[in-house]
Amino acid sequence: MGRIAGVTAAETRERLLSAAADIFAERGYDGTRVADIAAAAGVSNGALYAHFASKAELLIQALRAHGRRLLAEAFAADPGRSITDLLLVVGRWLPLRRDAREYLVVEALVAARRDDDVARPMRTYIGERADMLADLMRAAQGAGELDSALSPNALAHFCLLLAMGSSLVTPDLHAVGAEEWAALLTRVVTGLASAGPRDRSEDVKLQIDTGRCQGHGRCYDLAPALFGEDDEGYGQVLGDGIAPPGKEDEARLAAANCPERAISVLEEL
Amino acid sequence: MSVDDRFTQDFRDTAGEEPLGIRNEIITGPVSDWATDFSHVEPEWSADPYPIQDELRQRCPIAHTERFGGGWLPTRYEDVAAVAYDTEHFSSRAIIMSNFRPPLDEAPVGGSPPISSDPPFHHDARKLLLPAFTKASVARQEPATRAFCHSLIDAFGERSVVDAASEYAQHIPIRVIADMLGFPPEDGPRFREFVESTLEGVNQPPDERIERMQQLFDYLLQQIRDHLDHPRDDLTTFLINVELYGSKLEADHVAGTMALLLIAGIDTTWSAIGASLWHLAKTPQDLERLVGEPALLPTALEEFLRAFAPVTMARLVKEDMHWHGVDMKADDWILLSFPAANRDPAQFDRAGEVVIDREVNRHAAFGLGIHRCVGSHLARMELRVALEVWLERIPGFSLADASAVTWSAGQIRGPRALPLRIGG
Repeated sequence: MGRIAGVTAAETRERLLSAAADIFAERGYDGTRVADIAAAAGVSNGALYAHFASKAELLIQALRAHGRRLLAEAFAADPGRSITDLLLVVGRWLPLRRDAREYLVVEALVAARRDDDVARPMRTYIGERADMLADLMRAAQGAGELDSALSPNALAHFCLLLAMGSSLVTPDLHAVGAEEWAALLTRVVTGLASAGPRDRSEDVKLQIDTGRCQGHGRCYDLAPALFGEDDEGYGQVLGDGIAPPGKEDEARLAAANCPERAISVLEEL
Repeated sequence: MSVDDRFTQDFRDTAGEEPLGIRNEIITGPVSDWATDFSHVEPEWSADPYPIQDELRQRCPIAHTERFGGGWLPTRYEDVAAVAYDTEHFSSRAIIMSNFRPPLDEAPVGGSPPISSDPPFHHDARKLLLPAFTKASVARQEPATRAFCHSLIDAFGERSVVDAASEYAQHIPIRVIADMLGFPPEDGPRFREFVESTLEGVNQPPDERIERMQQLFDYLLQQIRDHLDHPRDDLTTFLINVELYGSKLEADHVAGTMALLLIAGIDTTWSAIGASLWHLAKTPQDLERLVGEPALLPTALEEFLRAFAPVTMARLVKEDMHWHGVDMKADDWILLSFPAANRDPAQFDRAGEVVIDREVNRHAAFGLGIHRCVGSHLARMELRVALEVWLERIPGFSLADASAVTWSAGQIRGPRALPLRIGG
C-alpha cells in the first residue's frame, strides 16, 4: 500500500495515533503488532517509525491523544462552569458503559506492570494528568469553590483513583444505581466545597473610644480573644475588630462591663 | 558615689517655704443630720455607711456639711461620675478631705502626683507610671504574692481563731508594694503607721498631722538616698532616674509619688481583701458556692469591689458655681464616694445585695475618668490571689465574733479587726 496522497506529516501522525488507540484498546499491548497499526493507518512501517521510535512510545502518545480525560474535557467545553458542578457531572458518568477506546488506559496500566519500556513513560503520563487535575483544583480553591485547607495534590489523586477505578470496575462487573451514586457524589462534593463567603449578617464590629478608655482592663479580662492591653494598659481591639462567630456575646459582655462606656459593639456592618 | 543634689536637703528644711493653705476649725462629734452635717470619720459612718448613703440618695442626693471647712457629698452614681469627669471645675490638688486645703497654686502638680495632679500635667506624670502597672507587668508579682499568702496561712498554725484583717489581708499589699518600691520588708509595721496617720487621722490637730507626714517623708528620703547609693531594679530607682519634659523629676515629685504608691497601695487592697472575707464569713451559701465553683471567683471579686468599694476620693471646687442644684463655693470639698455610686439603684439592679454571679457590673470601685486607680490591675491580682489561696487552704470559716469586727474610719473603708473561726 502506497502513501496516501495529499496527507501531511501531522495528518499521518494523527491517523497512526487513532489506529493505535483502537488496536491497543482492543487487543492489548502484547497482542498488538506495530505492523497492524501501520496497516490500519494506511502507512508503511517505515513511515510509522519515522514518527514513533517504539511500540511503547506509540502506546503512550495514543493515550495522550485519545485517552479520555473526562474532567479536563468537560472543563474545556465549559470553562465558566463551577468545578463542583463539573465534579458532579463527570462523577455521574464514571459508572456508565463506555466505548472501547476508553479501555486504552487499562491496557497501558497492565503493560506498565510487565514492561519497563512502558512503565517509565506511563509514570510520566500519570504524573502529567495528576498535575493537570491539581491545577484545576487549585483554580477551584482560588475561586472559593473548594476548601483551600485541602491539599490540591490529594484532591487530584482522589479524582485520578475514581477515574482509573471506574475503568477497571466496569458496569458488567459491578453496577451502582445512578440515583444512589449521584446522591453520594453530592455529599462528597459538598464536603469538599469551601464554606463559601461567610454569612456576615450576625457579625459584630468592635470599637474602643480611645478618648474614653482609661485602662480599667475589663474588656481584656472578660474577652481576651477580642481585646488586649497596650504598653500602658489601655484596651485595644485585636485583629480586624470583627468578633468571630460565637464570640459576639463575649464582645457584648465586655462592652457592658466597661466602666467608661468606651466600647461600642456595632451590630450592622 | 555620685551625688544627686536634688536629695541632699531634708524635706523638713524646705517645708517652711511652702505657701500656706487654708486651715479651718475642727468639728467632731455625733452628726445631727446627715444631709446638712455629714462626716465620714464618725463611728456611725465607718460601722455601716450604706444605709446613710441610701437615705441621702433618696432625700438629699447632694448632701452638705459645715465640717472640714465646708463640703458636699453626692450619693447618686450620675453625680459622682459627673464630678469625676469634670476636671474643669473640680481640682484634685487635695484628695483627702481634712481641715487643711492646699493653696490653688499647688495645682496642677499637687503633693503626690499624679493623684493630686490636674490636667495637663496629670497626663504626663501618670504616663510615667502606667507601664509598671499594666496587667502584664503586675502578673510578674503573682508567684511571689501567692507564696507569701501561703506563708501567712502557714503562720496561723493550729489556731482555730485568727484575725483575717491584721494577720492576713494587711500583710499582702504591704509586702507587694515594698517589693515594688524596693523597701525593706521588715519596715511593714511603719508603713501601717504612715497609712493610718495619712488617711485616718484627718481630725488630728494640723501640727500633729504635719509632723506625722514629715516622718513619712523622712523615711522616703532615707530610702531615696539608699537607692542613690545602691541603685536597683525597682520603682524607687526608676522614679529617681526617669525624665519628664527632658529633665529628671523634682525631689518633691519623686517623694510624693513614692508616698502615693506606698499609701494608696496598702490599705485599699487590705480593705478589699478583708471586706470580701468578711462577706464570705457571714454568708455561708456564697462561701460554699465559691469553694465549689472557683471559676466564679473573678466575677464574684468584681461584685465584692462594687458592694464594698474601699475607696472614696475628694476634690476641691475651683470656683463658686451653681452645680446640679446646689451652690458650691470655691474651695468647698467634694467627698467623691465611689461606694455610694456603686449602690445606686438607678445604675445597678439589686444594688443593695451582694450578687456573686452578677455578670454586668459597671462599677466605679477604681474611680472613673482620668484618675482611674493606676494600681487597679495590681489590686485585682492581689485580691484574686489572696482569696484563691485562702479558699483553697481554709474552705470553711465563719465570723468568730461579729461584734469584734471593726472598720477603718475615713476615706478608705475596710475591716481592721476581723476574727474568723476556722472550720465548719
